[in-house]
Amino acid sequence: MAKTKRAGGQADAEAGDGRVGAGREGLVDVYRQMVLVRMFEESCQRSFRKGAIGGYMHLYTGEEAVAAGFLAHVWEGDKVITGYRDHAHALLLGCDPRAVMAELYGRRAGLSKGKGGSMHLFAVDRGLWGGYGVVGGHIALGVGFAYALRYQGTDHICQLYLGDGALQTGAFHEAANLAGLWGRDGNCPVVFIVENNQYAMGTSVERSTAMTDLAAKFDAYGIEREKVDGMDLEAVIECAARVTQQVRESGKPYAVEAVTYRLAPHGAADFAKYRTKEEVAQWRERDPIETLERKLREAQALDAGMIDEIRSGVRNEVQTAVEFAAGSEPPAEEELYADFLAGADEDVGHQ
Amino acid sequence: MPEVIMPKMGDGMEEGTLAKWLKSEGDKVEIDDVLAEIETDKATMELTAEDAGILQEIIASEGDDVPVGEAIAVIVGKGEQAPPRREAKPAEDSARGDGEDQARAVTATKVEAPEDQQDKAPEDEEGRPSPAEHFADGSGRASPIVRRLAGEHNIDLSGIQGTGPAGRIVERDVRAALAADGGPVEERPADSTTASPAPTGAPGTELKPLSRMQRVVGERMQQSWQQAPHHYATVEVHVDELLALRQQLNAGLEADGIKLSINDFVMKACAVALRKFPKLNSLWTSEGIEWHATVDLAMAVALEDGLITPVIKDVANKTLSGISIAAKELASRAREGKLEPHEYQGGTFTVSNMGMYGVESFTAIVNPPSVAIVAVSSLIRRPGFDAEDNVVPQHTMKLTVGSDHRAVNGAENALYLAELKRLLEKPLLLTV
Amino acid sequence: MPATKTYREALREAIVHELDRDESVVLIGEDIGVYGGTQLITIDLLERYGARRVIDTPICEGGFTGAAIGMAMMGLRPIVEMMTMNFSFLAVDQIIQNAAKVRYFSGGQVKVPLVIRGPNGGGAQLSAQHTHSLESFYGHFPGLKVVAPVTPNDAKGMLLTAVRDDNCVIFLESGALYGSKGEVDEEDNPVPFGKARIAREGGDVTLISYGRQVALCLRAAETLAGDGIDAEVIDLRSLRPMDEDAIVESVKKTHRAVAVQEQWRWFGVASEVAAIIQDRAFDWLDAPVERVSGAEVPAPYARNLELAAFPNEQQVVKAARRVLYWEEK
Repeated sequence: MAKTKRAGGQADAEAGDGRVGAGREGLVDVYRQMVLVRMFEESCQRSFRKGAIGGYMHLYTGEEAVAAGFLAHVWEGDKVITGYRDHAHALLLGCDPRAVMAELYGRRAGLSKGKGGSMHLFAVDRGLWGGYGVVGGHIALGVGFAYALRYQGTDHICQLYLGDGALQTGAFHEAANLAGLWGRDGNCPVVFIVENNQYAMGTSVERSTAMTDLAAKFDAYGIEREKVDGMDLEAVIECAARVTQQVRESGKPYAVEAVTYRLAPHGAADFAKYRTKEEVAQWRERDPIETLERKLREAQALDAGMIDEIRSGVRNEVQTAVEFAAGSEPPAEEELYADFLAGADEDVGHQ
Repeated sequence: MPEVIMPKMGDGMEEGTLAKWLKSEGDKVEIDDVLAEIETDKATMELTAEDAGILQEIIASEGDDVPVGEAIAVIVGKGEQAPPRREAKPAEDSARGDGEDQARAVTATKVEAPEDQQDKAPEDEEGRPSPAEHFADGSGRASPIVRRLAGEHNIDLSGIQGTGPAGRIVERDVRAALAADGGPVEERPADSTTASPAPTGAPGTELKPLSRMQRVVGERMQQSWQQAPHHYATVEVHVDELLALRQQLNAGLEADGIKLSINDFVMKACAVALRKFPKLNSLWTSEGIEWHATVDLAMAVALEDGLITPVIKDVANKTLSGISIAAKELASRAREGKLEPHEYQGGTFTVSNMGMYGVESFTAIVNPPSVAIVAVSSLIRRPGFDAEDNVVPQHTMKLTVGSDHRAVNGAENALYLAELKRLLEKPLLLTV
Repeated sequence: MPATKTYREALREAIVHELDRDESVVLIGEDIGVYGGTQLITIDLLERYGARRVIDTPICEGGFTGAAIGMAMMGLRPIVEMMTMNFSFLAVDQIIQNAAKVRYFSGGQVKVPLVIRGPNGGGAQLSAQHTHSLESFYGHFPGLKVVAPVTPNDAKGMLLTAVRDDNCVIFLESGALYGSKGEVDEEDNPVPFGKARIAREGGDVTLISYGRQVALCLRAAETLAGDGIDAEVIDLRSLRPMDEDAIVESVKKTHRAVAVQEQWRWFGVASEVAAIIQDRAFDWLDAPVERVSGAEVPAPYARNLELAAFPNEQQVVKAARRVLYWEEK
């Protein structure tokens, strides 16, 4: 098996050993990334309301620690696949925020050349193999990724993100069964990262399943599992480091249920009838970014000046992204039939 | 040249009503001029021009409901070519179409065109009449290939009688007309009429288009006559014994409602005789002569408007009464036009009987792909010689075998005929 | 050098050829390994290539098809066996929502070199849930290629092409014809997609079909020949892309066309063929294009009803006679 080094994410510079958790400087960098995700999403919300972003859009606000913690442990060659709530994953894998925003604006310079939009961010050179729009539909793909990675003799793994809603789909159960089966022979290095944000759109976990211990569902398929506090970055990072290493070495799947909360509406807006303001306020007290900020200040790794500097830097970065997206060109009409069929048929038209 | 479209004037607006035109066709229009008033489910709003020029065409009439995004008028700018007018749908369509189509055609034709546009309408660039004009009264229809051929050969379709459904002029009709004009006959001739002269149309004549059956029969007979070299041999058969036997048998069969005809005996005899001369029971195929062990006998039945040959299967192994029942049943359904294709296809040998018409003898054309046919003439009573050379009244009947010389030579024909005569003159042989 | 082989053997030969040629080719499906394949297409391949390349799966069409799509995105070339195409309905979300379009919505960043193959169309008394002809269903979606070979030689040659294609190919086998024989090229001789086969030349009427209905059309053509009608028979064999030129050229010659399909008429391939003809050969037509299709009911079980539900030779003959104006509608 060819050993590969970890990916060049933004956390890279400070983390000489390929892990983030140990150094305070590393955590500050992850803090910065989480702030980027938050501000980016807030900016998306504004653009959507203005009508600059179309279609469906789903924000990661409140869940930042989950992806930030796990994606700190992506190595070059690893594959990441997720559902439609995918802006954070693209940003955390180091994609240029301008290209991400341009995609949401439907621009040629977008991550997917304006062909995918918010739900379909791809950056395969950075390991992002897609956001997918059908809940549960991408899970089997990730299992296939993992099988292929071993078949090709690599030590790469697949980080497969899915929500609490996806766990109730038939597609999940078929894919998890295959992962368990193939993993028995060490042929399926996939980490299932369940972003349990408590709601499948407006339907809570309690209203979705009688067996609300989501991690335990993996027992049925012989897949090791655990739960982690998805609002606590340090806990997620510790878990991610351990689990990704284990999967990389064993070739067996592993499932982590990250308990978190979507502070944003389901889409760009919802009627919020399905949850109370009190409930949202309670979870907001556990806001992962504020929690991390407090801890880093207590540890004197951050101070008010640094925070201001980080926040204004990120604000500029996001503003630049919006300006870039707004000012860039939509795809040319000739692009309608481009990126369609592969190989010799690349230029084939409507048939 | 910009089209003026029904604009989206509010959320959820899918169509608007053209309440009033404030400009007329030919008017000069400046940007922001109010062109019309548009009514939505919420309000009446003014529609202003986004382009300057001449209001060349008004498409939507006052009171029309127009979906958002659809053109309601055309503005032509300076130096721009005026577009061809939207033409009315061909009248043919509206005549055939449902009510909606008719309504649309009517509104479309209501649009008045400026004179210089009007006379350009129904001709194409080669100056030949367009189908729409040609069929303005909705009377004639022609298939696309016909219109194409008519254009290429400059044929006036109004002079052609269509033989397709509802008088549709189809390719064979126009090819026939072409041939009649001495024009080039391209590709294969569609049917036997293609090489014939055009109708004279003289006073006292009436043109009867061929029925489908006439055409098919004609083609097959033409094909047989042209391709199969025919030869004939005739024999006279003494049938007194046959008549006596028939009378005797029919007396016995009366209770069963069966009445054997002379033709039933002839068909049985033809089939039994073929056992000794299988060559005549064969098909002329692309790869050679295909002999058939079973005699599936085609029986010519004249119809008012043609001819059909229903097939009695395996006649050699059927009893006379079996043949009789099958023949009557097939003939009656043939006259009603109720035969299924499998009932008139696949014959290996044919019998054609004109006995009921008092003919003394006749020849028949071989029915392809089979290679032989027996023509049965009328029963005749006349003086003859008995065994002691006394002159006595006798019943005779002439049979003529026609064969495709490619498959059957003359001697074989003659020998077959002799066997046929033997069997019919010793008809008891047909009952065993 | 051609040798006479069954359709089944031809398919297996192509699979073996590709497994030998390219390490990235894997097989995946239900009972394809230990059992040898329901139709014995993959018999003995597990022993020969091992469980890593011949992957027996549990019963989960959506799961294993999705996994195969994931493998394909990673650069493998999986051949998915559907025990019958009827079960592919369970994998439709994967096939349509992922395989057919992930390349497009990723802006061309990925490709899905995948073959999904299995028996399509009716058999003998398989009844409603096991009798479907899915060509127009799959053919509707941009991003999929759909082929339906009927001769053993095309079965092999088109499967070679399918495996090497960089896109998802729905490979519809004539389930009723696995045992049929024909000459099969021994060489590595891929048959390109988008090229129809003229199964019989003729000048009076064009019969256009694919799959096992081609045999039906050939029989009908013989019957028509008895009436002196010279029918041309086109085996489309590749439905998407479809060889429009072959259809159009033939109709320009014959001026009449009958499109024949086993599937239901509504929204079917025959309708597409008719549309192509009116679009590109309108001025050559002498009669409206006829369609011969299956009866508009789920497939019945009783043999006589089933036969009445499938198109038959007589219907084709009659349709041909109608477009020749030899018979009325």
